Amino acid sequence: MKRHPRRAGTALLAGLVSATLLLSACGTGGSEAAGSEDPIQGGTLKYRSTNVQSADPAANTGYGPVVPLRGLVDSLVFNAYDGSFEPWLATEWTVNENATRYEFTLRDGVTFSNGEVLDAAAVKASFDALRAQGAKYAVVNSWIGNLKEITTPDAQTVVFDFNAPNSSFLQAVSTTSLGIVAPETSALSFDQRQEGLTIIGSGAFTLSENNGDEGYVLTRRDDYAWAPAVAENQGAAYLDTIEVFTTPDNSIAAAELRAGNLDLLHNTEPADKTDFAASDEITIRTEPLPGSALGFVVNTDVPGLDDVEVRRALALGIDRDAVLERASTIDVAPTSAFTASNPFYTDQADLISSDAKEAAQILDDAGWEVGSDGVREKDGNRLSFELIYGASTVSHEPNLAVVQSQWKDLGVELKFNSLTPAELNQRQISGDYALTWASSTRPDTDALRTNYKGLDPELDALFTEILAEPDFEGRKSLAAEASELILTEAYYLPLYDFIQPLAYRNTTKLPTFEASHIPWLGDVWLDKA
Amino acid sequence: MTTTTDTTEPTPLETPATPRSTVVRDVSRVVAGRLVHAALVIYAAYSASFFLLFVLPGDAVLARIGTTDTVGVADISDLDLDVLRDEVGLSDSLWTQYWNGIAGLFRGDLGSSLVNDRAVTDLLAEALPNTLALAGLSLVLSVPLGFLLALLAVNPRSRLVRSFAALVPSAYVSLPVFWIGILFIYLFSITLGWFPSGGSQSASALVLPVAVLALLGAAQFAQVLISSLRTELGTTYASVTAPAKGASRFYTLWHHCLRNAAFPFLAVFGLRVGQLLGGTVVIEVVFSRTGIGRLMVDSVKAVDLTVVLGLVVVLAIVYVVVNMLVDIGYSLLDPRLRRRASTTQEVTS
Repeated sequence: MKRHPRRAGTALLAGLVSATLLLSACGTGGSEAAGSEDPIQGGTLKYRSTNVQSADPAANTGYGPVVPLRGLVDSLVFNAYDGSFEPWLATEWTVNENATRYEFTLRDGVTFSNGEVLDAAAVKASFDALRAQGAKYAVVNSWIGNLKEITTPDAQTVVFDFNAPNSSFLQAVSTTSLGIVAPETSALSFDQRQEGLTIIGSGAFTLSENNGDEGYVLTRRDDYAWAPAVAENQGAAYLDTIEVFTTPDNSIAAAELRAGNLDLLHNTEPADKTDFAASDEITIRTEPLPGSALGFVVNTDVPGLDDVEVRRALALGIDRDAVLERASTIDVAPTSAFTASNPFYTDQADLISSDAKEAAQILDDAGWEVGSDGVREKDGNRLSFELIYGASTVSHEPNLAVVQSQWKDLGVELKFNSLTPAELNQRQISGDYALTWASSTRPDTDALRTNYKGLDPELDALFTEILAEPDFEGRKSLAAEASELILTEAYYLPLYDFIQPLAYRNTTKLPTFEASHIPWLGDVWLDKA
Repeated sequence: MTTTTDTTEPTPLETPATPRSTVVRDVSRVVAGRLVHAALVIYAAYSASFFLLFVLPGDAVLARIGTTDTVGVADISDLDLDVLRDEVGLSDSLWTQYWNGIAGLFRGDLGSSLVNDRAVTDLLAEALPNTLALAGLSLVLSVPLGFLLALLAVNPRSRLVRSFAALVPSAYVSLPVFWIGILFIYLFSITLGWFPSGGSQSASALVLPVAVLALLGAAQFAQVLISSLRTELGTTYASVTAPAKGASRFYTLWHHCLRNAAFPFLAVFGLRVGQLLGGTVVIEVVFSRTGIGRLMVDSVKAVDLTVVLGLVVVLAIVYVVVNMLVDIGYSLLDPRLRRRASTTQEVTS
């Protein structure tokens, strides 16, 4: 019911958007002159996200809100685009052979914007503050894992000791969410960190204005001199300021980007994605965000879904080409349980196939007979499944309807339902669902563990092995095994590699990206002389 | 009669005229009655919302941990949320939570958000001025505009002009607000670049949302006024007496009909204030503004009990005050109501 006004709105918007498109096309034909090759100093980057929780990096873990916060805090290590780790606040680090002990040597001469020195005690305080707040920082604490203690043998050395191996910890500390904040900030309570200018970091920008739900403003820090080694710009940032806006409506934000009122944008409706991909003024990144590919995570406790043959039939029953035809032009077919941009991705396209006939045959053989209402049943159980997801998945609903009709021909009923976060989490915890939406974004093997642990002893053993394996290549081959198992056992029904990346005007230059596909803001410049 | 009991002073001969002390007492009784009524309304609104919120699935602690974008299905099931529930008071029994809330209300303490721990009064202080500015301005503009539209639809000699002017308000009212908002943004912000498309950081950002709401208010007022003005124009005093005395059509409308026609307008005015405070959410979302409506919707979605209840209390107070003002407005417009009020009071006293 709730969806109808939105549908109507989208349809109207589509009309309006095309009208404005025509207008803007007439107005600014061929304005793309030969721009500057060298970075230009100064300017204000206008960035839009659907929402921000606050300027607290640890309270923001979704991609959109994190992008600007990357400028506010630095991390111990920099997770380069290829997945490798580069020095940043830590000049070097060692990991023991089973990933239970991490020792970082800190860079000398780094200060926070309030003048406090970034030393071992400050790093420890920054992590301790998050751990002390427990479930208030649920996501980052789950990334930190089972930490035993943090010790500081000397002012430049921090040691993290774990009760259980956590080979994902290096990736975790590279995230903005676990960026280091000043002792002054660490001393504050959760609610104090959510308002005003209380977040103090060592980043290339400082928080200069906080407009609550409507966004905030970051201003360049002139004495910044500890950019990650891979950054092009080692000194103070090029930009003067970064203005962060929140526009709840994606289509209005897209129109603002076209009009030049925004420089950088996250979250785009499918119609705008298609349009941006063809635009000569706007670039939309076409790499999927690193994490797990999009599709349905199966609840194997549900009758029917407890049978691997049924799950395989459901996976075969999805004609991905037809789904992609309905989706935006930049979405691509999945080729693994990971997205193709995940550093731990291996191409397993041969494990993902579509064959409606075979799917029907499998269900027939397994004894699922088509009932009077067209839905297959066996022993009183029907092949009728409900898919649940949050509001951010609503834009996929037209594509889900394609799967719905494909499954209907197969004799399987698919119902789908967008829920509030509270209800979604409640139903996931209590197991009251058949299918849920897989969409973890993390450039790490852990993107799979967090959705699929506890389903299968063999898979759990692999996850345990991955966590105790600090070596990149070693993790990657184990990750490929895990992905293969998930696909062959059909714990996951792949749909597509979802592209929900940044879109920006061609005057916005983003030279350096992290593995998480978040741009390093110290390098960003605007070609608007 | 419960007047003076002192015997030393001789009572004045004109006893029917109410003595000063009686007037004061009457007024204070009316005020006290109003206050008790107001307190009851607020209490009822609070209690009803409190128990309704418990019907919603999930709780605030589940809402604050995020969604599957960042925590996987398996990880969510592993989280130990009971510590957090204890901390924010959600593990207390329903009645304990209810009475704690009521007790806090008496102390003037609305508690803090269950989702981001911020004091509800702080959140209200951020959102309320924005909504008040938006609602207040649009209301102030919509009244003269509504009267103007109504007069245009009734006064001109040309039937064509009248019909057209009468059509405009109905047409505008029937358009969805979000659509008009988006249209205004595309036209005045994105295409013409005259005003910012959203936010509440600058005064110019108020122009578009105020315009949308003021036009809507004016259209609603005009609809009511047009129909009641037409009725008034059909009565004997306006169609026969006034013209016979040589009054022009406009004079009759302005001096005689408008006052009588203003009754339904006042009722709609009161409703409009309520609509504006609770119903600005669509405009707030379209124009990316912080405000009461958006705070309410977000808080209901997140099952943030304390924030929703704080908002309910504030809105209930506003409704009560507005209703009171509308009642006063009635008696100012109609002397008969004043007379009746004083006679009933004399009878009852």
